[in-house]
Amino acid sequence: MLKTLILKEVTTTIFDLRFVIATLLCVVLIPLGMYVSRKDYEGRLARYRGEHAQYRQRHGVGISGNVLEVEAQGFRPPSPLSIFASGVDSFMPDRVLTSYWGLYHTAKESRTGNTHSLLFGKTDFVFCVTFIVSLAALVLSFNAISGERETGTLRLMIANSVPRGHILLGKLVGIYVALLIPFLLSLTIALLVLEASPDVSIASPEIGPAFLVILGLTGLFLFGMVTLGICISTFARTSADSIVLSLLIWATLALGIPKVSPMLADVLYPVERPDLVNLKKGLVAEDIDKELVAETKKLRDEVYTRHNLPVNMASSAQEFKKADAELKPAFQSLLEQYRKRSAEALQRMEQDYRRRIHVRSLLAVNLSRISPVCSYTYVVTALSGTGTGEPDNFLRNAQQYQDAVKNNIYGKVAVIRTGGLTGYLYADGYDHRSISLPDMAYSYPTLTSALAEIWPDILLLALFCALFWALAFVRLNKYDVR
Amino acid sequence: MITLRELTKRYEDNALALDHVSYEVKPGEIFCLLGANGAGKTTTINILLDFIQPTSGCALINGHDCNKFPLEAKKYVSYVSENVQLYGMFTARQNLRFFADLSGKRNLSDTDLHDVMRRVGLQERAFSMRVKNFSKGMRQKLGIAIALLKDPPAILMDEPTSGLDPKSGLEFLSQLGQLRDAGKAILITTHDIFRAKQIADHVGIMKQGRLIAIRKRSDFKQADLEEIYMREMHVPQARLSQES
Repeated sequence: MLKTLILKEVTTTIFDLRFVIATLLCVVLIPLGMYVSRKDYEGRLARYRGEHAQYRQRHGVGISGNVLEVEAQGFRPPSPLSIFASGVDSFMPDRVLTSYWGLYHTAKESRTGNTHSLLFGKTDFVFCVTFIVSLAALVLSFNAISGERETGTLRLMIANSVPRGHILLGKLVGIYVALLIPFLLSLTIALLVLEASPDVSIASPEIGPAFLVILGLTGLFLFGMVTLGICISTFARTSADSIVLSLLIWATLALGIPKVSPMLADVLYPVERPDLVNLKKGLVAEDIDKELVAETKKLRDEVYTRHNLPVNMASSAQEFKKADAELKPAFQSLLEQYRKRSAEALQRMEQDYRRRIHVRSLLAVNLSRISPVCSYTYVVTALSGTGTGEPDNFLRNAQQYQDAVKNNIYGKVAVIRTGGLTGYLYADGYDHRSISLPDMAYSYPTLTSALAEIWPDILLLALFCALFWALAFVRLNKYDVR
Repeated sequence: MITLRELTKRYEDNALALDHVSYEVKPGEIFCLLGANGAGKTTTINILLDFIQPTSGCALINGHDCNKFPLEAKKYVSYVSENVQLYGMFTARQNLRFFADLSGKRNLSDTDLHDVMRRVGLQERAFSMRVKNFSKGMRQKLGIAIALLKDPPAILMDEPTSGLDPKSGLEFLSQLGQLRDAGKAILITTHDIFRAKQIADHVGIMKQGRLIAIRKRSDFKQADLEEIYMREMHVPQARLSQES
C-alpha cells in the first residue's frame, strides 16, 4: 500500500508544471553556480600561488636590515571546499604580517572586480540549495494535503482502509524522491563542470569525503523542507492558504532569521570594533615599552653610580666596559621580564576580545538556529572551511605563524634601548645570512574536527525533520477532509 | 451491516447536524436517505467514513465501530461521492488501479479493470483517457467502478446519480439492483425522490438532523413517495414528538 502511495505521489508530482519549473531552475542554476564558484576558486588559487611565489622570490635565504623591521608574510590558501560554500571566505584576510613586538597584522587585497556578487551574494552550492532547491521543496509540497482535500481525492483515499500516517509517509517519500530527481541531475552536471577544472578533483582526499558528508546533510535538509511543506499543508484548508503560509514561512526561515539574528546579537551583546581594540593594544604595548625604557635607564644609572661613572657620557674607558659587562645580564633579564609582561598583557586583551566576539557570535548562531536554513548553512560552511569558526581558525594559524617566526628569527635577537641608543643581543649561532623567513602552514579544520563542531546543527536538522513530521502527523489525524 | 445507534453530531459552532439518529441497513437492502440540504445526510456518511467524529452514539459497519476502529470498519465499505474527483493526470485505468490497490485488491489484470469499467457504462476509448478530460458523468461512473472493484459488503453513496444523464442513471439503477441481489448493504443519500422510489427498500426522511420517518418499500410502492416526503417534511415538530 505504501509503495502504491509513494508511486502515485512521485507520478503526480512529476506530471505537475511545478516540477518542470523546479527542474529547469535546478538544471540551470546549480551547474552555473558551480561553474562560477569553480572559476572563482581557480582565480583565488592562482592569486595565492602568484603572491606566494613572488614573496619567496623577494625574500629568499637570509634577511637584511634591522630585525625590528623584518616583517614575515604568511599567505592563506583558499579552501578547495569553498567551491561549495563561499561562506565568510570573501571577508577573510589573505595574509598575516608578523612583527618583532608580537603584534601580527592581517591584510586583504581589495577585490572589486565583481561588485554584483557583493551586492547579491555568490551563487554557490549552498545558495542554490537554501534558496532554489528549498523553495522548490516547498513549492512541490505546500498543498500536498490541502490540495487533495480541495480536489476531493483525499476523501476517496481516506474512505479506504488506509492509515493517515501511510498517506503522509507516502506523500513525504514521494515528493522527496521527485525533488531529488532534478537535484541529483543538476548536481551530476555540476560535478562534471567541477571535474573539468585542472585544480579541483572531486575524488581527492581534501574534497571527496567532505563532499559526501555535505551531500548527505543536504539530503537531510531537503527532507526537512519537504516535511515542512507537507506540515504547512496540514494547517491549511485550501491551496491558496497553503501557498501564502509556505512563502511567509520560507521567507522568515531563509531570509528573515539569518539576517536578523546577527543584528539582534549585536544589540544584546555589543563588542568593540577590532581597530579600537588594536589601538588599545598598541597603547598598552607602548606603555610597557616606556616602563622598560625607564627601568633600563634606572638600572644603568644605578650601576654607573656604583662605579662612580658619569651617567650621560659614552666612553670606551675600562670602567664603562666593566659596568656594561655587569649591565648586560641584568638588561637581558629585564628585557625578558618586560617582553613576557607585554606578551601576557596583549594576549589577555586579545583573549578577552576573542572571547567577547565568540560570545556574540555564539549568541547570533544560537538565535538563528531556529531556522533549519541557518543550521544547514553552518554545517556546510564549517565543512567547507568557510564557516563562522574560520576567523578563529585564521587567528590560530596567524598566531602559530607569529610564533614560528619568533622561534626562527625574533626570539634570537634581543633589542636593548637605553636613552637614545639601541643595542642588539644575538643568540648563539644566529646568522642573518643563513636564516630564511618561514612559510605559513595554514591548516583548515579536518573533517573530524568540523563534524565535532557541527554536530549540534546536524542534530537540529534531524530534530526539525522529526518535529515537522510529528506536527504534520498530529494535524492530519485531526484534519477535516470534507 | 450498517448500523447507527443514537448518532448525534454537534459542530463547534453548536449547530446540531444529527440528533439521535438510529437505523440499520441489512445485507441485500438499499436504504435511501432523503432530506433537504443540511438535513444531516452527508454528515451521517462522513461519520461512517471517519471523516468526522460523532458527539455521541455510534456508527457500525459489519459490527466494527467506525470511529473507534475506522481502519477495520472501512475494510467492509466502499464510497461513491456526489462529485467524484480523481487524479486528472492519470488515465481511468491508472486511477482505478491506484484505488484498487488502496482497497487491497492488488494484482488485478487490465482485463479485470476493463470489465468493471464496461459494467458501469464507460466506453472503451475512455479507459486510456486522462481523467482530466472526463465529463462529470464519466467521472461519476469511474467512481462507481472504484466502489465496485473493492467488492465490499457495504456501500455508501452520497448523491451518486448527480451528473449522470438519464441513460447512465438507468444503468446505474440496474447496477444497484445487481449489487443488492449480490447481498450488499447500500446506503444512499439523495434528493432524487423518483430514483429512490425505483430502487429503495427503505427510505429514511431526514429533517434538521433528525430521522423523522422510515418508510418500507411496501409503504410507497403504490403511493406517491413525493407526497409522503412532502407530508413528512411539513409535519409540525410537536406531532413528530408524539409519534415517536
